[in-house]
Amino acid sequence: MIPVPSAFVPVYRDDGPLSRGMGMVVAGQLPPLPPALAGAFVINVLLLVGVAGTESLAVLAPVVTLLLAGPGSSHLHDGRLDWLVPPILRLTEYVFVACVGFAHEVPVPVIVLLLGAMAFHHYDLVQRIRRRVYPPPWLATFGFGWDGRMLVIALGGLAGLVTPVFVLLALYLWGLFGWESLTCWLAAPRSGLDATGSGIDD
Amino acid sequence: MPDSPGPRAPRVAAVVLATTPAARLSCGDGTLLDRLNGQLGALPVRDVQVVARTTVAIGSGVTDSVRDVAEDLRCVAKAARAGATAIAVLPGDLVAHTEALASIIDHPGRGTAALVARGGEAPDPLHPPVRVAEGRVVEAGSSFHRVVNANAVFRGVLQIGEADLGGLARVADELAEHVEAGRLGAVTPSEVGDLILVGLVRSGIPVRACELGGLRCERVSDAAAAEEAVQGLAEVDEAEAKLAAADRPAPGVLAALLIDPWARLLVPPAARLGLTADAVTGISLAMAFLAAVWYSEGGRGAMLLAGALLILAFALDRVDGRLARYTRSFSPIGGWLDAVCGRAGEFMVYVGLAVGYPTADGPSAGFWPGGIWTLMIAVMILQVLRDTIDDAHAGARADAARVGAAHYRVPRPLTVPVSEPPAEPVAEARGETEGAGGGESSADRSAEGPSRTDGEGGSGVEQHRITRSDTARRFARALSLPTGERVALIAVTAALFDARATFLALLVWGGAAAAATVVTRIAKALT
Repeated sequence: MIPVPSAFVPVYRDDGPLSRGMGMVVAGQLPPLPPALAGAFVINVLLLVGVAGTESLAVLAPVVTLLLAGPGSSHLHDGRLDWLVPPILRLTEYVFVACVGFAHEVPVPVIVLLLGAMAFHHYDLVQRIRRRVYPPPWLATFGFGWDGRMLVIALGGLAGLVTPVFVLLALYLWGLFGWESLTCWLAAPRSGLDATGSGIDD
Repeated sequence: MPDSPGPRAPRVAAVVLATTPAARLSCGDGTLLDRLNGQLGALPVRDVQVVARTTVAIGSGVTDSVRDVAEDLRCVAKAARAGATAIAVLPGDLVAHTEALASIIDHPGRGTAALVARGGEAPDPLHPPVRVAEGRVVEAGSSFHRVVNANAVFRGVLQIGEADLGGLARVADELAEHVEAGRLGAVTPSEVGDLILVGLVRSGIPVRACELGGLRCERVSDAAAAEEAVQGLAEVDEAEAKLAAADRPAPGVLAALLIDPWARLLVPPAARLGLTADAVTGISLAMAFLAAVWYSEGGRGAMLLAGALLILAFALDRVDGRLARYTRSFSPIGGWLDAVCGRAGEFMVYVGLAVGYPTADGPSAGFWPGGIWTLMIAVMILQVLRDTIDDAHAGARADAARVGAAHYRVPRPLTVPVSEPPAEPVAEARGETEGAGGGESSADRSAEGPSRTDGEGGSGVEQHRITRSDTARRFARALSLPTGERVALIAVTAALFDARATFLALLVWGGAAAAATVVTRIAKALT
């Protein structure tokens, strides 16, 4: 039985095990928006000074973001501006992936493939929540979350294996997200519409 | 294929409350009841149970009436206990378009719903007032129960989903007791359905408001009204009304003015051909893929052709949702396919454009800032970002609305005329801050339409104000570069200039729109 999330916005964050773990450490005492903003700011500064191209420092960026934005994950996302958190996390993750990819001259199709896998998962996540075909909790764990994916790529940079890591991650994520999503949607009840009638839109 | 709607198995049982003399009024070559029976036969109804008086009361007094109402309610309770499928409860004195009945009885969700009209007509004893919020009936009236801030009227047809049958049985029995004890005042046999709706709503069972739209569905009390109502049915173009019921407000101006007027006309022929909505989604994606292939070619003629294909793909994207609603075969997976394929097609076109861009120093000359691949990926990230902003904002609104809706889940007593939930929902207090560009690909609250701005809305001045602000809102949305405008921008800039110009235009316009959206929403959230 898949648990029903109590609110939409925290699910849109797409936290991995690391971020959720940090959230549990602070037991929901940290509001989500300020640390996410700070994390996005720091990573942008790091990317601007050219961290993406370096072998050693690149790992710093996701760690800093994680330390900042992770602990906010367990807080209620019911503030007036807390809907800004998921876009901030998306921007951070996608820009980081693109910058590292470009800086290490990863072939463009591979970068597009990896970003595509992430985008597929994120669009899928929104539809899952909205149409009540809820994702199982293990999906966030095995999908690594924004935090895990950034860390994997940064470690790839540290090891000097950016292109293989990009390729492997893209294939892995497409396999995981594509397979899980497809089987889940095909198994979803054809008439499983809720009382608000959010059946289909344009 | 899992998505063939086909002839569905009859899965609804109908209970027709033909206990008032009006059900025996003649119309054409039979009674109203015969007419209704015939209509139900055309719908996926398993069996029709008619509740009728065997003895016609002679000079029926109040006591008779009370006994009758209680008996009818118990009949419904019995049907609910015996039934294993959704139950539709209809009055026998109903004059309705078959299509109006189908909109609630043939809804694939088979959930609990009530047919309501939100055209601002005044309630009368046969059409009691209700209040609709967030697509649900949150308050219902009868001769005893009052509704504060009513914004719609109940049109007699109820459906109770399988999951709520137990609730229906309890509610009907409880109502029967109250009626016998005289706690609900002088009830009449014609309001059994109304009382059940009140009972469902007040016991906290979510009742979807199924809107009548342009169709007719009314209850009649005498022969003259019956004749007038039957004639009134012919005045409505049923086919057009059915098509209109499948419409949703278009995102942006171009879609509304240039695409929708002809795209919607494709829906009935597509339905006749047996095309499913999912098939149309697939064709749309294939068109977008072909557009991407031609864009990757790079020549002027190819760019023009690709632009035409892209616009065609978008038009088909405007057809699929309509077709699903028109054929009442919408499903969660259909909505998912639509949303995912829409963006997949768009991203394929971006890739095609970048591939087709002539680079002086070979295909890999795109790593420097401003290179075609950098631009392409920036455009893609911007689009994901803009969608996330919209989705997260809509999600926050839904979260807030859910907190508000919880108030209506609390059971309220049936024996008081007015019973308001403890507090007003948060979502209404926050106002309709759609702002610019809100989730055009999949806006869940589109069912509410633009007419929910006020509760009383009858005067001409008020109406005018609403229309003007609607136009203003629509232009604001067009400026925020929704899908229709984006498709046009891609097609035109790519045909006139090149992929670089397209990406730069998308980045500048889309970036400004994203910034404006975020700023206005922050401002609205903080005030």
